[in-house]
Amino acid sequence: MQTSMIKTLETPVSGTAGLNTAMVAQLGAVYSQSSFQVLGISMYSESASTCVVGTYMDTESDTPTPFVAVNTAGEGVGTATWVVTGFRQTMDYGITGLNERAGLFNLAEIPSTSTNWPNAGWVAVGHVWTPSAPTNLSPLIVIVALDGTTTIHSSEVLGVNPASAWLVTSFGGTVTRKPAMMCDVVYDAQNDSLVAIGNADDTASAVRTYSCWTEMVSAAVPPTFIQNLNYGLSDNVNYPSFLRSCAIQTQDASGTTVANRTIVMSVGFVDNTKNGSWTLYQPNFSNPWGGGNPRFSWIEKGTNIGTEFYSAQGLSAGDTPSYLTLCNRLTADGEDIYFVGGIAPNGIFGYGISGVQTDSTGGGADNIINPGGVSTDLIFTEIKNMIDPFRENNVGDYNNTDPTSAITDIVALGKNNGTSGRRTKIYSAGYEENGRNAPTVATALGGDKTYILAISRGMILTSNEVGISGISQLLFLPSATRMKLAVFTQSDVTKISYAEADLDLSGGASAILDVSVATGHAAYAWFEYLLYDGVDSLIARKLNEMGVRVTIANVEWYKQDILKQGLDVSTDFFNEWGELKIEENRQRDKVAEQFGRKRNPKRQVRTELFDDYADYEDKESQIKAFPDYDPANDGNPFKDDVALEQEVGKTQKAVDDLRRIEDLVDEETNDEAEYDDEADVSDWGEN
Amino acid sequence: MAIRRQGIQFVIADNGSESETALEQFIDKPQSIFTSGYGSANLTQSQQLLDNQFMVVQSMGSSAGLFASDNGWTPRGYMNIRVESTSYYTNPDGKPQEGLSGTGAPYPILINRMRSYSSFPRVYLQGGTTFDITYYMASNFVGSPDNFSGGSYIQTMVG
Repeated sequence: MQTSMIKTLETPVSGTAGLNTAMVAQLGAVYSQSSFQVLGISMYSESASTCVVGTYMDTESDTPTPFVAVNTAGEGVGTATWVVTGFRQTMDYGITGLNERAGLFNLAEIPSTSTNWPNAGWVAVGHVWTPSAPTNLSPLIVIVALDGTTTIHSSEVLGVNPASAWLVTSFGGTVTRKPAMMCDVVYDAQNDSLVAIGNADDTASAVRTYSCWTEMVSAAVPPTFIQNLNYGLSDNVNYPSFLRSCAIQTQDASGTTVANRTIVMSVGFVDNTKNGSWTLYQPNFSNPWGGGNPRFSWIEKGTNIGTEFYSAQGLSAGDTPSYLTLCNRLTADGEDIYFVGGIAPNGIFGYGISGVQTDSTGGGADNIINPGGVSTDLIFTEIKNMIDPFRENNVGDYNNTDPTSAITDIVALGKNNGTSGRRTKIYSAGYEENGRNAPTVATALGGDKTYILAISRGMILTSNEVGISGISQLLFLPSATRMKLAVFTQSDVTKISYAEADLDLSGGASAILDVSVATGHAAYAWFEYLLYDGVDSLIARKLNEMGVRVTIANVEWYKQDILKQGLDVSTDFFNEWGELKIEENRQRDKVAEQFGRKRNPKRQVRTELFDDYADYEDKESQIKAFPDYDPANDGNPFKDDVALEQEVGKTQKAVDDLRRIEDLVDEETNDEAEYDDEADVSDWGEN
Repeated sequence: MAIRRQGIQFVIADNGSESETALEQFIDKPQSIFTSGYGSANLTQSQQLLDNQFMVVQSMGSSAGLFASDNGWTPRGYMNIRVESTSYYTNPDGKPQEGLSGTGAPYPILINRMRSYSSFPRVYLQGGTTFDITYYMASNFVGSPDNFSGGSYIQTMVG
């Protein structure tokens, strides 16, 4: 079987300098040159527009600061007209020395049909530094329009829907918990609402943090949040728990898209003594909680007890992830697959999952999650351990067995909902530090390279050829730890944009590029011919008519043969033809005469001879009017010199004969005795 | 007036220059290497010899290989000559055949890819003749996707 693996990167166009120039021009002196790190990219589905989010270093206190940039001139990051917005006003620069960067980290696309989020192209989420123990972080939520204008939906410092005032989802009211980190966000098209994930501080405690879900139902309404008080929490201030990455589905058990079966799958970190966390969450806006417990369940609480995923899968200690960093749902290639990835002591961790369902009653899948405290059955229709394939697919100097090695992004390629096109996947490999979303000091990372690699649609085959292609073109930064990918939505040529972020601060700015991805397959065809032009084409045709192979040698031979006869090349065929014709006529006449069909009647000698002479002018005019044309002389009538000379000669002979006969007649009249055998007077005279 | 030896190389590749649509539409049908619009076939007029020209087809060849695999893609390509409305390689029913296999007549010629035909059967094209060279590719540029499969997993979760 031949699959559609991506093997080459073609026609790269870098946008790094362009974005840096735009940031210098639009952020001014507060922007530290070449300091931006792009941590999220999104191509708008309905039109050619691209948004990137991330962080830059602000010169005021050399502090990471969020920014968003929109390419308003088209799709991609290579050739772009950027509208850049920095959010230094949302930062408290009095805070220093945090482990987590401030920035915008992910974004969700909002369709033009949205009514709850009017004029929004994306909603971007992140967090900024604010004085709020224990994390000193607060959410930053920004609504981004396609023209690059931004509206802050939540900022603690600016007092715009501050997280400290957010109500608890379904329950209402405020509590001592307050959302802090915000790492990822997904859009629910059926409910026109968003779910973001991250963590929450307990303001009543100096150390406790919780995994947290935030619901955003409208641009006009402040977000609400909920945390789990029992699982996914940390009391280590240096390693707060948080949810890092999430994906969404809105379908019932039969796969039909419905509004009341939303499930958000999230993965993250608990603390540095536990394993990566993995949850399912059903929003209040989808399936109202009714004031009861939130609808969430844990596939992995990170405690690695026997009934949970890691133990149930029989994973060794070296393969059990300490931190799950990536949860993507991939559908563009026609397969509906969740990818869950993270870091493990022995290297990359990864699982592919197809068909996520829940059973709330024990009566079969219904895609409902029971409120907390009540068990729910999880059904994965198909699941595949991808740890070994990812660890074996190596390229360059990438180390995929380091405790920080991770898949940093994965995308599916396909068209028309996966019914056509390439239908395959690519992913990026890099490094993630345990317990950090975007570290400020990343010395613990096990490497500083990111690469693009390929995996087949069904996650059966992997290939490093695309990585080798990129290395040979020097496309990858000499120092980078995280790469994000985005697929062009408006291009018929398969293209992606990617952004490498250098979180260990050793290599300068991000690299952002547009590049075509392809198989590199090429088919060649060759057609070779000899073209005979002009008189050579005439010779070639002659040879072909004679049944002789038309080759250069044969054409030249025939041409030389003609020249040897001393004839004009341009008329030799016709001369030859004329001679042959005369000879043929002569033979035919001879045969005809022999068979009596052309014996001349007995006639008087004089009359016969004069007849030949008498029609001379008529014959000459007929020869001149001979209806043949010379193709070598622009189609002028061909002059049959041979025939003409023949006729003239014949006539001349006839005239000569006539004269000779007349002379003979005269002689016969004057001396007839000379020509008979009878004796006469004269005969005797001399005797 | 001259005798000229000429060759034309046709290339179509999945190298970022062709759209996915074009790559999918190109396959499974004879495509002109002059005028099809795919790959390097960018001429806009069909090929017609002048009255004072005479053409002898010397050779044809295409990328070799019959069976594509995950580790070795091959186009499974065939070439054919069409004179006016008649194809050189035809099936017994008169319909155009795929043509001359790239495996039988490879291009480029390599040590392990030699021509099975020592000399291509010459085709003579008289002046005034309209002709075309077609390339038929049976393999898929973008490949056939595999399907995800794995065991089922059921777990009782606690919230």
